[in-house]
Amino acid sequence: MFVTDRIDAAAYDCVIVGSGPAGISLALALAKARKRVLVFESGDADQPRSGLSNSIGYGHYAGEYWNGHWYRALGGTSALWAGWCVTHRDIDLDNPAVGVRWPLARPALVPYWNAAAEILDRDPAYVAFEKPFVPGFVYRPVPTGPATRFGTKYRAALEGRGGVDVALGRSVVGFEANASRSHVTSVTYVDHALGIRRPLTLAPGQSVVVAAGGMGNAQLLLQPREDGAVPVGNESGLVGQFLMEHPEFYLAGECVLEAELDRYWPEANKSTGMHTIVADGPLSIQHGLYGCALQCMKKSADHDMARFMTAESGRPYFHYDITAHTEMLPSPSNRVVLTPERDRWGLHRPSAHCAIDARDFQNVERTLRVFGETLIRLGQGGVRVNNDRIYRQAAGEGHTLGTTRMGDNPSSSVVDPDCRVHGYDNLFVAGSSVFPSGGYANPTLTIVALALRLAETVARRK
Amino acid sequence: MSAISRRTALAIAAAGVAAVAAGATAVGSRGCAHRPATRAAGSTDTVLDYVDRDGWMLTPAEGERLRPAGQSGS
Repeated sequence: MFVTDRIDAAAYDCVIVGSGPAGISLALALAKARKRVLVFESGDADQPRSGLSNSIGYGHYAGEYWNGHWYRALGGTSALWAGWCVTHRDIDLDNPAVGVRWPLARPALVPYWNAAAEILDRDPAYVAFEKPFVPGFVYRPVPTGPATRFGTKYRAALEGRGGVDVALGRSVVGFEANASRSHVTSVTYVDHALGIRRPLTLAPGQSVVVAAGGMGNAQLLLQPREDGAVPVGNESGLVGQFLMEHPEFYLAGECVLEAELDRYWPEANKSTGMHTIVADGPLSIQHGLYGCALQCMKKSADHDMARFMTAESGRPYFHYDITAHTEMLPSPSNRVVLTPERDRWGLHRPSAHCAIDARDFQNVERTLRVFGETLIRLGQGGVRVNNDRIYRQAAGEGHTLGTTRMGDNPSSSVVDPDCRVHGYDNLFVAGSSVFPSGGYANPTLTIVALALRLAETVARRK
Repeated sequence: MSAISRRTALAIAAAGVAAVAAGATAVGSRGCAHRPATRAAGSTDTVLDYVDRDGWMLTPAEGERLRPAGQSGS
């Protein structure tokens, strides 16, 4: 139900900061496990909260860029989501060629991806759909369709008496911890309607999950304390670092293919899949490639190169435009930091410094060229590489990744494989900020999957 | 064009064309010394050589046949 009265901290097993896909999925899963949950949401049920400190971008994603992907209302940024859902591959989670490694192997995530697909209104059979294409490459479409708006779909469940309370119009602005920094002892929040700050004192058995988005999580856990001590949750000193986007390169290339790319995709779903080709694991390791999905669009036999290849071979060829959806490798120099500027509640404004690395540009060109070389060797097509588009016209996909990265080692990560902040027993982080690397996959499916997995961890706490 | 004459510049350009025509498909560099490479700058040595036609990666044979009539070089 929506909370309108003063909040009674003792009434809850878990406090969640943020009502986006991570926060709501987690809250409903905990309620199903008979836990009592309080969700803080800065915005209202229908309208985003304005007047909160937003971000300022530097680098390839400059100015207001990140604010366009940070929506503070019930349902969070799912209000702006495009609805693409696909799983990460083994090579996305463990790629020794580029030093990427998640502390979770793919089999550990599969059951949660399947459950997440249903929450996101996708068929679990299709979010990991994969078929061989040519040696070294697989056809791996990204299922699309109407995007799930969490603020709409789950409003009735949240508004009713289902074990979840939502405190709308209230923003968490700080945390306190015990002297040994082993558990969070209180959460401070702002009530926007009353214009006051209030503390919420927590018992050791109560859990806190920060699920305020990739930018919001970093902003909250970086806020300086009045006593000058390290902010609660940033004992590693790594909060904000390793910020990543998914660089998108529109019309990075073209290709002509002898076979129809989408021949595997069920006819009924032809219009609801982005038809993509990716290098497989062995080829990626051989060539040092990482996440780069070649989205092949606008199939046509009516193209000069398709006609040329058809005339050359006597077999039909099709032409496709290619847009590349790619990964940027994690780098500590890409990061969220705080500016001296504060909002009316004292929160410092975050600034996001994010530049696509030379390696990331080259990865796109190399993937296209290896694909072209493969087709030439097989005599099954050709590729055109548009370096002007790759190196000069990068865009983004609105994904804020990596700012509270997950890992086994407390000296190189913020949260452990259970998404628990290293050293704490009751402080957790949910959302794409825990991704140690981005892969090429759109993150929402994995955000929800990790939230469902986290729900089991939180529910087990006494 | 103050350091070298137009004639010298044209000669350098012509030498470059000749190098391409002789089979050099990329030019490597180290410091100021430009050295012709003998292969396309591909990411692997395991595939066929290919030629570039307006960004299209093609086999040399395809490149020959795709070249418009009357055009002699790349």
